[in-house]
Amino acid sequence: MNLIWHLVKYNIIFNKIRLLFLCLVSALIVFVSLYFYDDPKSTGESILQYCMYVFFIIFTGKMNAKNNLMFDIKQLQSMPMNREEIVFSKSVADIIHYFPVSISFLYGFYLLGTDYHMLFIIPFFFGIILVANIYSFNKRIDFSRMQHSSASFKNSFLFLHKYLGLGLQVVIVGSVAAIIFVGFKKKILIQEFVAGIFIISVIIVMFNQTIKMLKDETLSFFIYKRDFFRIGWKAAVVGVPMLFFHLLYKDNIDLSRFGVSQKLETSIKGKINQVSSLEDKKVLLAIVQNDKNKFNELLKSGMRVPWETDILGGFPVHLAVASGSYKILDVLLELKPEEVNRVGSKKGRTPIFSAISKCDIKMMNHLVTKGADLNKPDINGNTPIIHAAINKCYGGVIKLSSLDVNVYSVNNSNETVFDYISTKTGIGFILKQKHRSIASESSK
Amino acid sequence: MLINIQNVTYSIPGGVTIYKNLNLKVFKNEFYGILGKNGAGKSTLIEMIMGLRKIEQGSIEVLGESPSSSKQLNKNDCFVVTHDMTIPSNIKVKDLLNYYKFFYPRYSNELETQLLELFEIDPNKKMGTLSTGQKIKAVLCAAFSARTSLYLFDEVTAVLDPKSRRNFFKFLKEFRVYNSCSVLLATNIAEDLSQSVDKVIFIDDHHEVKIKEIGLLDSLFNEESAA
Repeated sequence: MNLIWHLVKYNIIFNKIRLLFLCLVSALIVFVSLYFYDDPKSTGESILQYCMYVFFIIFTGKMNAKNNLMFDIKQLQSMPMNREEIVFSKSVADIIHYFPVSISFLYGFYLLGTDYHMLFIIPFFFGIILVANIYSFNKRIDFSRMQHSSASFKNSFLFLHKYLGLGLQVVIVGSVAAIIFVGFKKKILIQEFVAGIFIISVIIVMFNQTIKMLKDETLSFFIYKRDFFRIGWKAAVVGVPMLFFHLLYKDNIDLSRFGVSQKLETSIKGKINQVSSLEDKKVLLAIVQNDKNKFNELLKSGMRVPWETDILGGFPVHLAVASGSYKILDVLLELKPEEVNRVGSKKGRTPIFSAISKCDIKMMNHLVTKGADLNKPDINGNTPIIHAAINKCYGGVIKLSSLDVNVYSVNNSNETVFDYISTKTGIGFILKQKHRSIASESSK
Repeated sequence: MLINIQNVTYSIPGGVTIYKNLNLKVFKNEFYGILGKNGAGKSTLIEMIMGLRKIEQGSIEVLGESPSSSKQLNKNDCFVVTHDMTIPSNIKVKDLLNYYKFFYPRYSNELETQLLELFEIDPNKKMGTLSTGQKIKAVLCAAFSARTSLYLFDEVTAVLDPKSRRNFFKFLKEFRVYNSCSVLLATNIAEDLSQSVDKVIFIDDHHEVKIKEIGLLDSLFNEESAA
């Protein structure tokens, strides 16, 4: 204990100012999340996300070979301390170092309301930190110094590597990008995009350093291995939370929010191809492909619009809205104006819901001019404004709140639009204003 | 005997063999200089003695115990100063000295004051404000104040100015008279060794180790250039 206190006293194993800074950052994460989010789940999610990034920064900082605020491993090893004493003292110190952000992280976990009991999570969490830390520290002791080595059998491969440096980087970065952006294409979160960029950046920087060292100083397989170990750690520290959030939220998000609609379009086209009538198929494909000339040609040639053909719960008007085909939509509504409020077969949603799902405000305005019903709920009781709030289409919420919309409508879960939007945000403020103006009008 | 290296073989992981069947014995009150080209393995030898490198064969004993063992009771009788160590920049010189004092039971405050004067180091200055040479001098103050039986210096004289280098060797000579200690000094400056050391450990390009009396230093260089 004396030893630990001595090391702490002289900022040898961690820096007290940095610890204070981490306390402030952790508190800030919690307070900001509590302020901006009303429901515990969103607050918990926000805290977890930001804590993960702080963990990343702390952990990768530790993995750096040199830190001018602390003694390096070689120096610690040279002191009259045993390896076990060094590792133990450093691990205890690191637990203290991680403590503030760990508390915030666990609080976020608690707010998220998972099925796991906190008494299980806390020792598990600290256990993982301790084991990872001891492992990485031991590795650093082994890799404490860059080694020089001339040619050996393994090193001979590095000649090739040296000259293919840039090409290999492109291949590695390309592969990582492919895994992230193609592998996860089914469901992808904005955090995953950010994490992906992090991973790619780390790999580029580390790989560049390795190649530079190989070219400038020595040609050692050891350096290559050591740096790949470092890359691996850094990538894992970002990759694991990324995977964690991916698994956590994969069923709770709407793809169109992030502009990933390729799969949806593919499914729609696939469904259209299953339509038995060739004529109907052609018309529907023209709508989805936003090909107004072909659509007009088909109509002129005597083909009819398959008004009753159900594609994934929507009808031709829904398809025209979803694919942003204004001109085709106009033609459809000229033929049948009542279709503007056509109820979908699966979720009972009118075409304006499709525009809101894509947060296509221009299309929403267009539908409003065509007489769209702004208070017609879907089968869950969600009105367009609630649907916009759920989808975080705040532009849509603002637009709808400025129109003749009932902001007090309640869905089947007995929630209004206010339950989905924090009253502390700008949009919440706008809704409040609307609420006040309605109240003052009714009192007059 | 303070250091006993017997039949040691060491290779860089995945690389070449640096030492093969290395034998070295350092007795009490001996001063060895370690000379060799860059990359010959001078620092590696120091690191092997520190226990930082895993040897493949043979045995190393430092102060009667293995440097890689988990329990080293005599480690506080050995002081290591290397040119490449990172020293915290945000602590004062006096804090650094207090930090070292904790580990060495024979630490002398009087000696510390003398050394600070000799090396012209202000104890109230922060380490971050000192030059590389001044930082090393601050650590050397702690090293000699610790009064250990064994000193390992890895290229520390290269960063010292001429006056400090002269003071270092002058002090070391006197220090060894009053505190019998053994010193291993790895250096690239052969002139440093000529007046101070007893023996020279010369590592050639093929990592072969030759131990010679200091008087034979010139013959060593002649052999090397002839080869």
